[in-house]
Amino acid sequence: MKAVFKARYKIYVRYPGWALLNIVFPLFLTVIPVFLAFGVTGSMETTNLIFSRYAKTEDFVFYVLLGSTVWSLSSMIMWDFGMWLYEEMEIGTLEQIFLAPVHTIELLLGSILYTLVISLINSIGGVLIASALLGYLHIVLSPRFLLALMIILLGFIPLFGMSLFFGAIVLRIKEPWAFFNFLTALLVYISGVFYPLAVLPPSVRVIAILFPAAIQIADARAIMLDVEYVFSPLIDTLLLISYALVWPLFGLIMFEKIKYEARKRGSIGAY
Amino acid sequence: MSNVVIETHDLWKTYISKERKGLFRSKTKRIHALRGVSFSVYENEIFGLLGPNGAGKTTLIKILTTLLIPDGGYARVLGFDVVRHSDEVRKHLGVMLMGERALYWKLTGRENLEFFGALYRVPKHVLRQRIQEIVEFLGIQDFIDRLVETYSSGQKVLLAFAKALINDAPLIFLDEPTVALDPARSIEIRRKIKQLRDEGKTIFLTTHIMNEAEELCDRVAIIDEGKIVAIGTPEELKRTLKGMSALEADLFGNNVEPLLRQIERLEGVSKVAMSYEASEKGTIARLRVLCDSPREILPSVVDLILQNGLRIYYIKPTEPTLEDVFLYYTGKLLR
Repeated sequence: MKAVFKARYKIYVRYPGWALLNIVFPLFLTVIPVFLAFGVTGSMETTNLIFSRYAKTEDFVFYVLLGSTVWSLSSMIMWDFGMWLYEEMEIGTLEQIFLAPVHTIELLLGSILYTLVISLINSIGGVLIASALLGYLHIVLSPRFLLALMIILLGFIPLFGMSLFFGAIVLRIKEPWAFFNFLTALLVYISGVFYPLAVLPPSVRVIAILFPAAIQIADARAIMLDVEYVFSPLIDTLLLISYALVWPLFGLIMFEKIKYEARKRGSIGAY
Repeated sequence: MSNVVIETHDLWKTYISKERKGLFRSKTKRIHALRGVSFSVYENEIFGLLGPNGAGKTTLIKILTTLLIPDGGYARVLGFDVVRHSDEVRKHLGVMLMGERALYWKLTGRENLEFFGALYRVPKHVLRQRIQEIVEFLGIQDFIDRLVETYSSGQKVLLAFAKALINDAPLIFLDEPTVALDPARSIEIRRKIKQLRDEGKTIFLTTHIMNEAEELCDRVAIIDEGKIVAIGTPEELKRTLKGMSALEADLFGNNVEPLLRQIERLEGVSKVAMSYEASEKGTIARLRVLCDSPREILPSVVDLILQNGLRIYYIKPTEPTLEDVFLYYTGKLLR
């Protein structure tokens, strides 16, 4: 586990451009809807007023910033294991890793530890920089931030399981980009990154709630901005805990199954 | 007889590939990579697996190293079944697959060894010491602390070799260990492989360099089209040629294929094969004729070469080598 973390960390710091881009990414993601809203309504005051009807807050910019930051963080966790496997396949080291007597869980934990550390540093750094620039530092530095962080961290557990599942898909289909792009677009749409879940059609909202990031985003906003939870703090937390029990198990079963099939087909490491 | 380290019995492996025919149609293709492979490797020997591309060498190595599951038969490594006890098997193997792509280019050589050592759960203090020993053993001090992306091909092969030694495994698989190495380094590596055997390790290697196999291997298996066609010590295999010898020639010129058929028809000729090698002067066609008496057929062969408009760079009768054994059993050359 430590070996994977150390190797990934060392490679990461040898590409300094990655770190910089990861820090500014949520800011870029925030700017798009803000300019769009400005273009449609003509002023931020009007935007905030209209927005408050659904979202129960007039802080449109911070609302979007929070959504895009939590989304970036969650999607990094969710895709990370699969992307790591893909990179290993691409550079040719995946077979070498599978030759070692190391369990999938250890590989996942090493990969996750790295992503968790890097993405938390990036996201917290990014949100601090963006908040300082946009004048929200007082909200971010309040104790509520820690509570929001706890909900976000709880939501990571099912995302780790999803990460294993996507890792299995990478092992199976080898070129995951079309799938990745489709699913990213779909999940951005249903997670309420730029808007409250309340604006979604009821049937889509049901699907959205099955996805942990949608709850993470909604609850982080509820804690920081006093807007509405998906259901209530208790139910939302129980939902995340139940996902945390189901997804890792499902992800692990699927990964081991597809890894076995890859060993049957001789496609481990084939790229 | 020493202990059996690797034992395979009636191993079968078939790959199924789908060839796309347009957007919705595909054609299923079955490739029989292994067809009933059975053999044993004994403790403390260097065992060589020789075979042309596509013969099944890689499939066999992948099964023995647990990367691939066979369709039929069984394989045991150090007494453990490669499918049911794959974790146990992996703990006891050192593996060098084809060199360059097995390394992290953005890490130094030492960092690569530290990473793989940790995956094999080598304790930290042991690992540090072992890396130092391996570095000295292979003489790679000059570049071990540089990023792998700055390495030459030969240096990457050496590091991949070092990686195979990191867990001090009793059984080491080496896939083409001297490929991409200059002659001096190749000789050095062969010496190291023998040294590892003398220290008690068992080595399973693949190579397409016949001299290397002949020099290094205690026993050799020849695999062709998924079957082991011959197995034994190099001397035993040469004895199966029943007194036959070889005639070898390097030729220049085009249209060498008709020549092969004409030589095949000469009396006393068993097998004829040609391989090609690029040189500064152009492509050299390397002819090898396995026959009862090379000196007797020499004049006829020279006549045929000249009749076909080819130029002779050199031609000479030679003692049989493993290359001839390979030619005898497979009808091909391994170059």
